[in-house]
Amino acid sequence: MKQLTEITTPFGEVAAAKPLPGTELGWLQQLRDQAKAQFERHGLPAKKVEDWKYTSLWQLSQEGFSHDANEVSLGKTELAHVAALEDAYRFVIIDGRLNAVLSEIDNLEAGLSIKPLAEALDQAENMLGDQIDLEKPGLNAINTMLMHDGLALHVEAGQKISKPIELLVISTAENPKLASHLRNLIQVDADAEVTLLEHYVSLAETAGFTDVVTEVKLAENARLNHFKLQHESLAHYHIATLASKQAAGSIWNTNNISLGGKLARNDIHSQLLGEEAHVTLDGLYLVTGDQHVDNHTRIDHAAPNTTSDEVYKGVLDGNSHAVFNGKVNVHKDAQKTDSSQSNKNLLLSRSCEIDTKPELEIYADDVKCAHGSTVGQIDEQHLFFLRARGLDETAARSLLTYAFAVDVLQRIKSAPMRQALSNVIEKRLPKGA
Amino acid sequence: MLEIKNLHASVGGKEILRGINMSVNPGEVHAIMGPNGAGKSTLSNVLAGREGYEVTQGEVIYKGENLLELEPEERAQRGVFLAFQYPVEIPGVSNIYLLKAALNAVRKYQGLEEVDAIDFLNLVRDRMKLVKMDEQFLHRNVNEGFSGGEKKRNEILQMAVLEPALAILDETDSGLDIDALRVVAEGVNALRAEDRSIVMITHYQRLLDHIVPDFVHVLSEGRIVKSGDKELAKELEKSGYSWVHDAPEGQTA
Amino acid sequence: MTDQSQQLESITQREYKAGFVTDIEADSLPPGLSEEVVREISRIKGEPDFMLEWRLKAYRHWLTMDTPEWAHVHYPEIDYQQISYYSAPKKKDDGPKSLDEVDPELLRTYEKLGVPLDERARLAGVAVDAVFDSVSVASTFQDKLAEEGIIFMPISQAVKAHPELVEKYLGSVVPYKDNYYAALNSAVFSDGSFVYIPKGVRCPMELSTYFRINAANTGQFERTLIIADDDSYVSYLEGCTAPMRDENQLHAAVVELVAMDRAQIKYSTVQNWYPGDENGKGGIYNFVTKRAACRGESSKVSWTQVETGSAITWKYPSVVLQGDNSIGEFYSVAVTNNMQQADTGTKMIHLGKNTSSTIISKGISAGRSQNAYRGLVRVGPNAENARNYTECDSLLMGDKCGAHTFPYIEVKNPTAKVEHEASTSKISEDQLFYCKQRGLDAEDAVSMIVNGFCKQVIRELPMEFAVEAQNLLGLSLEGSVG
Repeated sequence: MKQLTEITTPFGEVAAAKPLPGTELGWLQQLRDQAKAQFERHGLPAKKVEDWKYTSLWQLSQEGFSHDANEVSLGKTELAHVAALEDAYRFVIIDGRLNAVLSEIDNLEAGLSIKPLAEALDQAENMLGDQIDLEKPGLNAINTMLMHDGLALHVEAGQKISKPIELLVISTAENPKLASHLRNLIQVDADAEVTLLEHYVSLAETAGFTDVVTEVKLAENARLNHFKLQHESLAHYHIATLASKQAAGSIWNTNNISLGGKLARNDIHSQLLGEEAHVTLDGLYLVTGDQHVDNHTRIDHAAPNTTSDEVYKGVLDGNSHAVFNGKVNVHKDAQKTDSSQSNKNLLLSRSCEIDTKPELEIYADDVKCAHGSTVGQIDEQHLFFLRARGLDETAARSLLTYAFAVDVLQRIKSAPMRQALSNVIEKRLPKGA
Repeated sequence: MLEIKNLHASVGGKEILRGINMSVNPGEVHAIMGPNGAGKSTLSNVLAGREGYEVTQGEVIYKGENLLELEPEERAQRGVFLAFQYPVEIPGVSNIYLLKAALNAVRKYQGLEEVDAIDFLNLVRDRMKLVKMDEQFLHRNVNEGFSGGEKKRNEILQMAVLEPALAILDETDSGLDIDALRVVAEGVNALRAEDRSIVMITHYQRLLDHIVPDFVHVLSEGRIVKSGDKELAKELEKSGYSWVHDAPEGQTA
Repeated sequence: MTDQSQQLESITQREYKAGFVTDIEADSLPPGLSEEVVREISRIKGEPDFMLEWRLKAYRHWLTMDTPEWAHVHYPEIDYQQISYYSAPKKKDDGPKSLDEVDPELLRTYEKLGVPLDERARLAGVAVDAVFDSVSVASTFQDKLAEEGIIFMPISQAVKAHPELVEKYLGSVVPYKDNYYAALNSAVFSDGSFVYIPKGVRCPMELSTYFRINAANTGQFERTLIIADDDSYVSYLEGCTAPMRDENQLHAAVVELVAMDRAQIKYSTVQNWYPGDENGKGGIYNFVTKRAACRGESSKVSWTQVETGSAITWKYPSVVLQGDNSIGEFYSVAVTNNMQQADTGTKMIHLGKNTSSTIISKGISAGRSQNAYRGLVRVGPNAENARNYTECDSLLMGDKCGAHTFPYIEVKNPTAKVEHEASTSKISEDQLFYCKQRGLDAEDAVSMIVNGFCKQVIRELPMEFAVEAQNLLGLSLEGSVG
């Protein structure tokens, strides 16, 4: 196996050669230097690192991605076809670059600010990098070195934003083997509320690499309904960190749907820092062929009376491999923590593999924590029931598979969002074939 | 038997009981009625010594002793029994095991020997008839998987075995259908005795049709606003609780 | 709330009743580990060459290994040169032939521990092998068992009496390369029990080994090997105690079980090694590798453990389910109090078809202890219709302790059904109040609730062990609740 650190060279060169935003900001330059040093020390994580036990980045390191993209645009109708939400503010990134023409961020309602990362950097010193751990084995360091674009979203105190925001990240056939390093900054001030959909999609079955870090800061009683839909091509690599810091009374509702990618990895981390803060981490992964999906979630209950609720479900077909790791960490003095977590997996084929590890680490005593995980098949009794009602076996299986998966979406409160995401799932898992 | 004098108690800094006065003599059955939030359950919890209830004023004398100074188990050992409104489930602990441990705890306090296994079984079997419980209940875990009615009957069974001097029945009728109510009431009636006092706490009059009290007290906003005999309960049923809010301050028996 | 914590604390302060030291003359090797020491142990034991060769291979391999650091336990580095690898009570010649020849001081020790070795005094139906420091001092009922063709003897004796069996099976379940402590054990193990149950024999009594560490600065490295041939059954019990000493002592045992076609082995442990004092001074480091191979079809192995002792417990009794339709079970209660640390659980490796496993783990943490469940359920690609059910509950008593759950589930076969459930909660105040209202004092109430919490495990133990375990649970938590 090639030494993983060898790949520091191409990334390093990119960092030196490419005009990255914010070079004039001393603090940012310092942060990038720190990230570079960190990456040069540790490289990409190897499988002996516990958090990467079941996911190898070796192939990724062998692909030889390019960092230069030709500018690409799409027609409005083509875009409408790709977008998931009809009525939304839209921030469109195509092949790693903001497309200002297709983005709809000009007429924003009061209290809402949507900017490209580059334009937000001069205000971002206290925000950028604050939610993530640079030292953590993974791609946080690379992303910090090389981030070049992304969404900066800010909602002012008390504002309830009426329309959702769709961050649409499109990979096209025009720039194959392109690596994008995106950084999104989401800041919701006290008592404000907003809904965001991160939507990653490929227009062709070409290989690419999306490296994205989304940082979320929720002030007191802020609420962020945060959805992620990833259906990039089956040759694509998608590695994401989604990390939040939550103040008292804030609510972060997430739903993370993973359909695409040759390799998709999400590290989702919620830090509940104030009392009564709540997080919902939901997710669904549907994988087939040679897909590999890995969801690592971590919840830190760092204050008393915080709550968390997590449901991840997976449907595995073909030679796919899914990994789930859900860690719940209850800190000392985080009394009255209430946490529940569940991971359920449906195996449809002979050669798929699931590795699941729900974890609890508890250092307070007055807590209620539970987790469960299951691996299994379609319930034979349910199948029999449907067949007795006249469905043929294939149709019955499809229906039950769809029902298993869509259960996660039914936890979404907003009807249009639920509908939009269910439509996508239905295309992948027809209710009856 | 029991003397409650100017009892004030608060929960989480909020005053719930605001000067309860009440006297219960041996053999008497008292009913305490009142609307939701009047402080009925607070009173029973304070008497039994549950944590989280702070007595800010007043005293409770039980058989000449200051009840409030005693630990919950010391009160129980001295004959104070609380039939819980919501009996808890204890996984893995069988009903009979708890009964025996409880009976022996009381006997130990009384300076008696631990009960012999055979005598104990005979005693329990005998008392089970009172509440029409099947023997299989003895071997099930405490209240685990019991229906609402079974839980309440189980409380009365414990009372029958432990033979307390003072039994406080906290909303024993809640959640019972009429048949279950009848069984529970018959059990309690069979346990009425000259040396045993019973305090029933209830929202509804219907329990009092089956267990006829000697005295009825109306509790409202942490005070006893009216006391009388069983007729008072009937009156309450007719006119509801709305009038008690209008009753003049401090009108107690 | 604080009242409750104080009461909890007062209940969990307990006395360790097996903490006395037996004053007996011992032959010990001086502290230190080298190839010479390994050769010397083998020489003292009069072992055949194959054993010495195997020990030396293990020792050489051990030198290349690093201590495992992945467990959720913390302790200062162990100086392996400060440990004595052999200690045996002085004796006349080649070990006792009968109980009459056993040093009466030793007999009294076991008597005091509640394990009388006198066959007449024993509960009928339990045969005991008593291991004192590095050697077996007495095995009871050997003759009676021999009538059935059962071999139950110290492993040091079995190496000589049944070398073919030992050579065939020793290290076949836990190879010396398996892990750091298994390698160390393979190099220096001094004694332990050996059991062979012939085809079709149902062992007529419980077999048991009682391990006692007595000497100071001594490591105990026992090795147990149990082979249940086709259609046989055996129930084996293991108990452990050690004196109270300020120094930590290492106990690195290896237990290997082999179940052939339709054979069943039930292995029960009540582990009560000295846990150290309330400040974490002293206590046993219990680093143990226990593994069973369900080699035969429809074979079954059940591990039941009640772990209340040791300063640090690092053990994962596992089952490799090779035979079709084989069954693995793991029932565990782990109690930690004061400064104890436990990282324990199991591995169920499903390889054969229609294999099934059950894991019931109950962890109770009190004081400033750390208690972790770590488990692996792996279903291989050929394990059609594998089934696993895991239930893993933790009870917290006191706000300074920790309870952790690390279950790994790896499934490579789509016909597998794996279910894992875990919960962690505090001992319920409502339950405590309910029991107190019925007249029970805090200590009895806690003991009752904890025993109820552990019932699924306790009921798997043979009767006399169950009683001991229940008492131990109460004792272990004495001073922790109210």
